[in-house]
Amino acid sequence: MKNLGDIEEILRENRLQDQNVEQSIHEVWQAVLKMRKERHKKSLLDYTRPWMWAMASFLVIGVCIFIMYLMAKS
Amino acid sequence: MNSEREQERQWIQEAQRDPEAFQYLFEKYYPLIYNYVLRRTYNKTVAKDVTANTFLKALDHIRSFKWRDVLFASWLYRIATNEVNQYFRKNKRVVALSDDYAATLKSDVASDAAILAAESEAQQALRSQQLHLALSSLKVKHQTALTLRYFENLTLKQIAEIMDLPENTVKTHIRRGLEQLKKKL
Repeated sequence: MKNLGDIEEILRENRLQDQNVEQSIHEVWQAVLKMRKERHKKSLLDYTRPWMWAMASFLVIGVCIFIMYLMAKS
Repeated sequence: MNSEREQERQWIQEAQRDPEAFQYLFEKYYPLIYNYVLRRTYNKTVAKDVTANTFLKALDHIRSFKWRDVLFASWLYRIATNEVNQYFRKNKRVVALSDDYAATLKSDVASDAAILAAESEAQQALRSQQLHLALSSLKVKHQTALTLRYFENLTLKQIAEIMDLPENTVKTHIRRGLEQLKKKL
């Protein structure tokens, strides 16, 4: 029957270690840089300034009012 | 030791000003974090991806790192732990050893010419496989505590810092984890 000390010993003896860790350093660093670059790519929405959003809202409201006016007239 | 910490502090400050300088910190801590993630996931490909995400987060948040008594390594361990847990949440826990790690174990054994040594290695590989399967079936918080304590050889204080828990809670997680492992082995 194992005691907790034996389990601790088993854990310490079975420590996984990748011997070829150095080989993947460059590959993973390049992956980090690529992901960072992609994350910082701006979409069209990011380029839209706040005043453009305000103008677009007024335009939509104007069109709605115009449609309501046409409907009321007919 | 102090001069090493002082040098590291300078590198962190440099990286906070210029992200390009982060590469030095990456190269220094990559083996530590990669092996930790590998011990949690048992899959080299997944370990590389999770490690890349860990360093990406670290690079993004390096400006918010405050140099007090918190070691930079502990900060990285904390990010890596969160990334591993996030990976487990997204992908249902894979209990079986990954093919690529199992294949490594087999090829290591097959390449050994001496029969006795091969037998011993095979037994060791089997014991290791059984242990990691048992460890995989524990609750994530118990796994994290046991991995940090026995594979990474960290102190209770460091583990508490990484897991953001009081030291006594960490002790409880370790004890419960060991008891669970005892039942499974």
